[in-house]
Amino acid sequence: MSFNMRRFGEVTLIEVAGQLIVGNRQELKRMILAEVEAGTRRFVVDFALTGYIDSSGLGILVSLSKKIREVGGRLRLASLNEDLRTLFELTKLDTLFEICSSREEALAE
Amino acid sequence: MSVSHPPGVHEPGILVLEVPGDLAAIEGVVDHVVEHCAPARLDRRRLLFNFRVGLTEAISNAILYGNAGDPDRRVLLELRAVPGEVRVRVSDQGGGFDPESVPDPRLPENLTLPDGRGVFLMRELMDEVRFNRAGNTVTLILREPGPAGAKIPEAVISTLEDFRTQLGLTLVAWTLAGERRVRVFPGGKVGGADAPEDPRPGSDAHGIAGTRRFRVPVGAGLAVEVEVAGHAAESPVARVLAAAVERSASLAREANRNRAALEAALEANRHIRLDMARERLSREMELAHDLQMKLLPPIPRLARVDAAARVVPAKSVGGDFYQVIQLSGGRVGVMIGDVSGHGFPAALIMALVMSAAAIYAEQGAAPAKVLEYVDRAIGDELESTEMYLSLCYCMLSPGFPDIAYANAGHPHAFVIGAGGEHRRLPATDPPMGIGAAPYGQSRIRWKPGEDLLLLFTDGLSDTLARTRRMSGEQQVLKTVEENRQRPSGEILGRLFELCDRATPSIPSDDRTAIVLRTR
Repeated sequence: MSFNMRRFGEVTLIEVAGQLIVGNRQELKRMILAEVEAGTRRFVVDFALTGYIDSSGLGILVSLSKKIREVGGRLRLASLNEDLRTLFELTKLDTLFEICSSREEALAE
Repeated sequence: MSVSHPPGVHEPGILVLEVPGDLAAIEGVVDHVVEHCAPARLDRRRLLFNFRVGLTEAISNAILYGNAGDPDRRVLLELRAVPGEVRVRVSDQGGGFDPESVPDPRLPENLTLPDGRGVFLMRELMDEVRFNRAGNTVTLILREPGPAGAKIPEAVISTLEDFRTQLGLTLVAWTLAGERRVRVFPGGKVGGADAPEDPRPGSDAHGIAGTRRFRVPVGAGLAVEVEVAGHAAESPVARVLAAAVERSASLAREANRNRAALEAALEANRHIRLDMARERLSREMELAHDLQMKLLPPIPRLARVDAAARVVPAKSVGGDFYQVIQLSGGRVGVMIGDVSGHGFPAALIMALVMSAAAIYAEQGAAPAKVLEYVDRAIGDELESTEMYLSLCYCMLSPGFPDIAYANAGHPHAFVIGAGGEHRRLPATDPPMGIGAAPYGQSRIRWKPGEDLLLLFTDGLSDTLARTRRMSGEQQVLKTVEENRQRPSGEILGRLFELCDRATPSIPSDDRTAIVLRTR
């Protein structure tokens, strides 16, 4: 399980390969905060390769999105499969996040 | 992770295990449990998603909130998978909590909070979630919707039957759970295997536009869809039928609640037996502990070598080990390792590494080769258990002005010079289990009679880290440097005294150190 980071112009995309859960959420947080520190403002977290997310994983996304907004940045979530999307809908977090159906859409202006 | 089966129980679908208090280990535990769910023959997708998320929540709650992060408190997990149903019970050793006190995370004021969704998700994703009265045991149940585990109340079926016979209606009913649609009426028995699945996809609206079907919720995540021949969904007959179905379902739920109260009493009884299981597990931990100590060989008495090593084990079985190996031609091999996990699997990895390493080291293999052989011997085991280990192997040859070494991610390896200055043996590779062969090898300058080789594990320096301004590693180095003229045994003694003063209680991680000089 890993987080793969790629840069597309000004956008930093992080691919969650495996799970985003209590055991590894801090790693994602550190990764994104380091990027924020370095001046990146536009982020996409891509879930195309993700198995599942737990409440801690959702929580870390909530606090990251808050952090990114505070510095005037933007966080988009991409490629959620049906199960993952349901997770966001159940918790009503779909109203909090900008959710894009594809990576291309998320990377677009 | 410590896995054990109750005595005499080796049935498929039954699993009892103690979960380590390590959040990073949860994913591995969850996958291990999922492997034992095969007898339930549940929908793979729900098992891999709903069940894995629900179980992750239950375990992390137990570790983080139940046991308040205390790694010495245990989390016990019991699984029972039978056809059509998986039931897993997770118990912690905390004071419990009131699940009803958890606020709804969907409320606007809670929506931006990072926490508080765990219990909610469990309830949404599992078919049933029960807490014991004390609030420190949760039972998660996932069932097969449809034939195998149909949970449509009998009362609903008899209501449908009444309408069919007394009003002479022709009607068909299906259950809807998730994506599955199973015909439940008419059927030989409730959700009988002979009830075919409906080939026609349902529409999404409540009133189901364009058909005569209407949908009635009959429980959490479960609805019945009914079609009455000759009567539209909005017709009085359909409405009366819908109301009757809903009423019978709600009566059935109430009856279930009463039954739940009865089951809570039975649960208390079970708890007594659970305590006995805990007792046994703790005894097993002690035995594994003895095993670890027995595996560590004594330091051989070698000509021209002054060496001392010690492991102070943690309360539960850790995975620290060392070896000093006499090689041909007066050479000597020194190894230190730290396995990431605890419990039996960590002790097992440790035993495998030590025996594999000794075999190849004794043949005089170069350090990088020794690591490569070890990796080959245990790579699969590491992968399947998702563990990793740091391993540093040094080879000292008489008359050679340097040490050859390979270091797979071991953080604390040093040469201390006569003047008290220290030089680190940097890692040549990531820890084994993360990195892979071929392994790198390096050399570091060595003055026999003057220099001191010092290897130690995190457990030693972490103990000290909390006490003073200097980092734990700096404190270890300082102590060794100040005492560098003394025999190795004394240096070691000073080091462990320092740790004992810092934390007199039994440590939560193994503390290991080796000091060695050649003459």
